[in-house]
Order: sequence, then C-alpha cells, then structure tokens
Amino acid sequence: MSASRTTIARATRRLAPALLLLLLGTGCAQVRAYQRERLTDPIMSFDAVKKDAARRTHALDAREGSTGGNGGAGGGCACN
Amino acid sequence: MVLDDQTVDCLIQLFNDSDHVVVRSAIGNYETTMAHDSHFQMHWNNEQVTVPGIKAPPGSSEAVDAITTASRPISGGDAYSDYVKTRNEFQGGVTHGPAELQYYLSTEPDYLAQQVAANWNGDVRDDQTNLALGTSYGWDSIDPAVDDDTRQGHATKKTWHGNAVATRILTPGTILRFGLELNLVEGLQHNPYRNVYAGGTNVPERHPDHRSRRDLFLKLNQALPNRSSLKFSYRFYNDDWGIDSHELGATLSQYVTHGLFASWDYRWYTQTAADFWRAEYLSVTGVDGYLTGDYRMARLASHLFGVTLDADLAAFDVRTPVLGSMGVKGSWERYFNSNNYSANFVTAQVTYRF
Amino acid sequence: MTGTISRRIGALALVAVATLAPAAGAGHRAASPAPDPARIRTALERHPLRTLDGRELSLAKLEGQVVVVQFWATWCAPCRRELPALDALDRRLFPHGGRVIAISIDADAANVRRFVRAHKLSLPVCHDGPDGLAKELALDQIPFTVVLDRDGSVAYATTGNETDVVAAADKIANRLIASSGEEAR
Repeated sequence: MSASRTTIARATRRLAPALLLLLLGTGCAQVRAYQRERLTDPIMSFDAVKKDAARRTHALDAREGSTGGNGGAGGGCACN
Repeated sequence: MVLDDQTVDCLIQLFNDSDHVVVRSAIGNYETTMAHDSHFQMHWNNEQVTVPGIKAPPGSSEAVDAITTASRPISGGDAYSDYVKTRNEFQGGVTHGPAELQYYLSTEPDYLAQQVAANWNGDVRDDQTNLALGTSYGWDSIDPAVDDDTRQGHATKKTWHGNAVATRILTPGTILRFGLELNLVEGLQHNPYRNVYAGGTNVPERHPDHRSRRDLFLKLNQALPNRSSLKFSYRFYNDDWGIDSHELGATLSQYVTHGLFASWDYRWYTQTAADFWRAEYLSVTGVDGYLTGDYRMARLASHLFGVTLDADLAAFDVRTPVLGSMGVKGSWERYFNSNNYSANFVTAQVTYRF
Repeated sequence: MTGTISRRIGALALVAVATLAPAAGAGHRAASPAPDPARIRTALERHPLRTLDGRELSLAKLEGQVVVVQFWATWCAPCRRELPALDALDRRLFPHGGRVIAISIDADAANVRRFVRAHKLSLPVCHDGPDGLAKELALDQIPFTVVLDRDGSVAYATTGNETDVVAAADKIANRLIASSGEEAR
C-alpha cells in the first residue's frame, strides 16, 4: 500500500471511533419537541432526499468501482 | 378521512453520456399510512437503455462496448446497430412500528435480480439518537444473450448486505449521521459480453467470484439563517479487490420564497485501481487469472455538479383541490470523470398527496 | 492493510451495536413522561391563547366545561393524522358541555391557517408558536394531549405516539361529562 493510502487509512481508523463517541451524545444538550421544526424541513431532513440519494447511488454504482453511503443495499441489475 | 395519508410520485429521468448511451427511466412511487402505526410503500421503474453500435471490430479493445456500462451482446453482424434493452424494476415494503420488510425485483432480457431486506430503527438516549440496523439478501440469475465471441452460460450472483446507522440531533439546527456497511458478493461479477485484449488476442473478461465490500459514511446537515441549509457528506470505501475510494459531497439549499427552494450539489470522488487491473495484459492469464476491460476497475476521479428546484404548490396558496396537494421538482446533474467520460442526468417529478 | 481496515470497520460496527442495543430496547419511540399535572394546569390557566382569527381564548373562561387540549404542529405527521378525529370529537362534545382545542407550535401561523382551511377543520385552533406553552412545559414529544375536567384539573395527559390517544381522550371526556348528569351521546 502507498504511503498516502496508509496515512488515509490510519486517519480513518482514528476518526471513526471519535465520531461514534460524538454520536453517542457525550456533552450534547437535549433538543425538545418544540425545537425540532427546522429538522423536519425538506432542506434539512435525510428522509426527504432518501429516494433521490438512492437513484443517484444506483446510477453512480454503474459508473464507478464502489458503492454504498445510504444505509441500505440497492438491488441487483445488469447495470454493469 | 385521514389527512395527507397517501402520496404518489411520478418521475421521468433522462440520462445520456459521452458514449451516446441513452437511458429513459419512468418511475412511480406510492406510499400510504395504514392502521396500527403501519406504512406501505411501492416503487416501480420502467427503464429503456439504448447502447449505440460499436465503432471498431467486435471483441477488440477499441469497441465501444468495452467502455459502456450497459451490457450488450453482439451477434450475427448486429454490432454496428443500436441495441435497445428494457428493464423493469419493482420494490414493495411494509413498515410496522420500528420494523420494515422489503422485496425487490429487477428483470431484463438477460438478468433477473431479487432481494429481500429487513430494517429496524429505534430512538434511544432521550430521542436524541436514532439507531438503525439493516440487512438484505439478493440473488441474481444471469442468462447472457447469444453473443458471437463469448461463451458465458447461465450464472448466478448472491449478495449479503448489513448496515448500522446512527443519527444524532446535535442542536435544533444540526443533525449528524454515521454509518457502517458491509457487502459480501459471490458469483458472476464481470460483463459476460466483454473481451479484453491480452497476450496478443481477445480473451473474455474475468473478475474474481468473491468480493467483500465495506464502507463508512458520515453526513452532517446544518441549518443556516435565511431558511437555508448546508449538507456535507463523506464516504470511505474499501474492498478486497484492492479498490479504495473517497467521496466528498456538499449541498447548499435555499428557499427562494415560501414553498420553493433551490439546491446546488457538488460531489468529488476518487478511487484506486483493482489489484488485477492493467492498462495492458501481456499474458492471456492476466493477473492471477483475472483480466478486466472495465474502466471502473481502474484508478479514477470524478466530479458531479447538480442543481434542483423543488416547489410545494400548497405553500403557494393554490386553492384548487388537486393542484393544492401537489409538488413539482426538476433537477439537472452533470457528471464527468478522468476517463474522458461525461454524462447528464435530467429528472422531472410530480408528487400528489391525498 | 486491507484486512486490517476491514477488521477495524467490523469491530466498530460491533461496538456501535453493543453499546446502543441495550438502550435500544426502549423501542421505536416510547412515550416520554408527561409534565406534572399541577404544572400543566397552572400554565394553561395563565398563558393567553389566540385563535387563528384573532379571538382571545382563555381556559379560565371555559371553566365548567370538559376541555381536551392537544399540542400539535403541521410538520408532525402523527399530529396531522389525529386532527380529523379531534375535529369530530369536538363536534360531539360541544352540545354536551365539552370542547376540543388544538394548540399549534408551528413557527409560522400561515402554515397553520393553510392547513386548517385545506382540511376544513371547525374545532378551535390556536397558534402559540414554539416558544410559548410548549417551551414552558418543556414538551419532549408531540402530539401532547390533556383532558381537563369541569374544575380545570388535569384528568388525563399523555405524549407521543401512544395509539388511540384520541379514543382514550374521547372516553375520559365522555365519562367526565356523564358524571355530571349529561351524556355526549
């Protein structure tokens, strides 16, 4: 493996646990129901773009060598 | 009467690329809420792919079919004619509380794919974090059409997928998502119609039968003043064929007026080459028995720019019963990569809630 | 190196699941506990409310009636699904000394007006915004439903996606009305 790939892989290994800890909520204030309106807006919501993201991933999977990033597998096809 | 209980989307997507491949997709989605915290959704796609005739002798490495991404057979002198293929796709799913089950089917003349998936999600830690776990199993049946110079018979491919995704609300305007995914693939994973020029002759393409693919991704959505938002995403991918990739994305969305917003997208992507990829193969056995003419196995970088306009007609105080429950969306994406390849995706969508 | 990366990613996945799975036994979205009833009553009595057409609505003035109050928002899908049933409940209770009031916590009243008009709702709808009663009561989940008896005391309060909240509120409201000698049906 090249030196740059080693560096990137090492950084990723260090980054991933830190991100997981962040997600487990160390030190984050509670966001109550009446504060969540903006999070449901289509420009903020992950769900609002789920189908668009899946379509794009499907199209790019057929044109690049990798896959993933949406939290679910696309089905198979002869799009290869 | 239940309000906004059902939604129908109709989309047309047109794709064309620098190799003159054209794909027309007619897509429909239907969703409805049912009793007892249940939900049903359905998706279908009728896709027509037109692959142009090749511009070099069939089987040669200069033939266009060596670099298009739609499979096409060549037989009986039809190499110089356009090849048109239709694919139909269906997906249905039911959600009950935290659990979801899905079924997927894709059928085309030479490929039948099916998949079942199960997902579960729950809010934890005072509803600030949502944890989702998913798995799916896919089984594909491949029956290549008659082709002059390859002899690939019936084959199969199986894919097992697992994912774990955590989504955390950080502030009233910030939400973070982190995910890990794993795909284990077994079976035919190369183009059955493609040849590779190796050792002075044309040899059928051959990829390994096993592939372990994994990725981790991170997404951050941040609300900004003046009803706008910025989204960032990163994905690192790695597999046992030797391909590592990085993807970085950013989207800026802004409301132009009530109910109408515009989004600008940018995506950067880079990948390394597969261990068995070579620009030239000196021997017919390739690298450990594997040879590829698929540019996606090579070192690659790409950019994608996109723009979307999304309008909710209800917010415009449209008082007619049908128009007032509709939304319209249009987008254009421009993609180009380091292989001198470029493509356009144009999508138009209408949504109706009733 | 490739094997090491895949082992690390696999280990991360196991850590994520193992860490979050015990807490995840709480399920899809369990209802969080409602605020203290006395606090709810005090807040409702003191906080001025206005309907969408600008009329002042005071819960003190509704004393003597059984009142069902629901906090909701147009951006909350379960809230939207419950509103027709609340609208129907209001029409049943009104002739018999009961009332249903929907209090919206939307930031923009225009969204609420548009929704009420589009779905022809007749029950009293107030717009209180995100920084009013909902903040005072520190609501963790919506819809949040309260039933007040004729004295203004809280007879029932529940949050979140508990199924058949409206049916439960209907039953309790009718029982309270019937206990004073009248029937809703």
